[in-house]
Amino acid sequence: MKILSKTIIYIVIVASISFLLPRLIPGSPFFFSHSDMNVLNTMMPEDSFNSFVQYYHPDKPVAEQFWLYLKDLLKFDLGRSFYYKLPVADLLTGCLGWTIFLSFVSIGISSGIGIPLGLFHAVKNAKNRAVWLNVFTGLNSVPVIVIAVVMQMLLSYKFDLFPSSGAYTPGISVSDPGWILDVIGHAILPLLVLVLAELPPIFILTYNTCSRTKNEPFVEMAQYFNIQDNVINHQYILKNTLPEILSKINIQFLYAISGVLFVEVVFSYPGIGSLLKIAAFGRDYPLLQGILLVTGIYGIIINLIFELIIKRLNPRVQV
Amino acid sequence: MRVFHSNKGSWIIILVMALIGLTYPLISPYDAGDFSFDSLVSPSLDHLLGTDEMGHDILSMLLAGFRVSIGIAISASVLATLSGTVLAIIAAYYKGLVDRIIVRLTEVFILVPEIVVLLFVTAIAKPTVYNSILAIAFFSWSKITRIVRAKALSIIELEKVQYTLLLKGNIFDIILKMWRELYPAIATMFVFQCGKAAVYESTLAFFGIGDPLAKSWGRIMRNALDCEGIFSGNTFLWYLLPPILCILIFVLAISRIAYNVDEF
Repeated sequence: MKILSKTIIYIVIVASISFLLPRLIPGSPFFFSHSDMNVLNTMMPEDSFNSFVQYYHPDKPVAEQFWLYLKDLLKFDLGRSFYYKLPVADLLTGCLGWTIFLSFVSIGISSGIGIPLGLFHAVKNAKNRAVWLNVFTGLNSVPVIVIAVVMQMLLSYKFDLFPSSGAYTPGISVSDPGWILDVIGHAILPLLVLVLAELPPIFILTYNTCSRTKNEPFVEMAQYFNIQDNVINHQYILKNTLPEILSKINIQFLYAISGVLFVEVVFSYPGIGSLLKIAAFGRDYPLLQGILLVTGIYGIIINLIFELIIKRLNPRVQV
Repeated sequence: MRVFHSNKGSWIIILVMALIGLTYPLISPYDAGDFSFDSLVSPSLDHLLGTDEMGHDILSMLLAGFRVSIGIAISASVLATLSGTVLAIIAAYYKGLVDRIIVRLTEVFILVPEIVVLLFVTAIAKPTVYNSILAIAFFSWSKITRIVRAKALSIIELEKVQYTLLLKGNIFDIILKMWRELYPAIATMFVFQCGKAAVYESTLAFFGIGDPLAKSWGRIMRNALDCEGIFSGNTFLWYLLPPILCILIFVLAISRIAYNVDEF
């Protein structure tokens, strides 16, 4: 119950931020008072101006604007995009799927590789451990966008191994037999970039937490009892560190959403990232507001899921 | 000074980069805004990195980028670290409701993808360097607050701080008392933030917003990617790679320093 009420508070805060932010920034068109509306009218195209007035009600007091905004939200009415001339809610639902697909698959692959690898290096004193750690800490600080640009440059333009942009070949439809293969082919490169960006932090934190648990008295005691190594590794070390690892992966997941948005822009993947680029470039306020709201709520839901899982795994955790 | 010795290389790289940023008008071969040359010339003695599609000398633009990129990174981090630390100390000092509100706010800022907030602010505000700095600082403070608050909560329990509290010391006395213990955490966060801010600045330029006249590394990278046929020849070698390398070297050197700065 406590988690649920916290989630609702978060959603209210995100909604208020997306309402207040454009009105707090100096120089934004929301600053114009009602008498200045004719100035704004000359700055914007006619139909953008009309939908602006219709959705934001600049003639009403701010408190009433907020009330109307919340009412619209409950009806899933996020206004109409200036650029696409379509309802923002429709645009977002069309794109959200690709973003969810990329973020879930990439985090899944990264955790699938990173957690076992981190555990392995923590319990075994492999010779090349220092090399691995250095490679991963180095990779950890490379910005996603640089990885994405370099990979695109090398793998798709220079060596032509993977398609450079899009989520599927234009013209192909869902009913075609090769559709799934086509989508997978287009997803490999973005996923590779995302895994390269997400793997290092997951590896490092698994390594750190497992190395700490390895020296706990209960693990040493188990070793004196001659319990098999892999039982110790899985039942004693991994099981006890898993809640901590998961709570870190939770934060990593939230950072990964930003990463996914970058990667989508570089590879022109038809997700929220591409929408965001157009919205930011075209100063499309309703679309920007909608994206802030939807990505914020997506983050909140991910957080909720992780907190529920962690609570399940370890009832001692106080959320 | 141990930090300096353990990471001499990284410090030297950062200092040299900052020096280039400060003195670039003296060492750059041409004016960065001069577009009177032939377009897309290959590297030669006149133009060490060739020219871009508009006829700018790429080396001059890159050198100008040192000042813009590093300047934005440092000023945004100063702002973010300052506001983050102040909020963290306020939270740790007043506890109770104030603390709860600040913690909830930082959590929300972590839940919302940073890039969305960043683009939101910069897209609505006027595209100036000043606004980019404010925008980067605006959504970076939450991470600093989170770390510094945790640190401050443990430091405030120390006897010397408790003694000051007992003598009815106000928040400034407490800050003075806590400073020595708090300093390493703040310094680490500041250095980390510098690297992050540099990346965000290049990201902003990459998305095509921010000051269109400020020639940062990110902007050169964006121009290079927008340039038709950059991958068909070898143009990308002297147009796209140098700004990428500059960003990479800066960020890697910063992170090497940050990992060791708390050994102070």
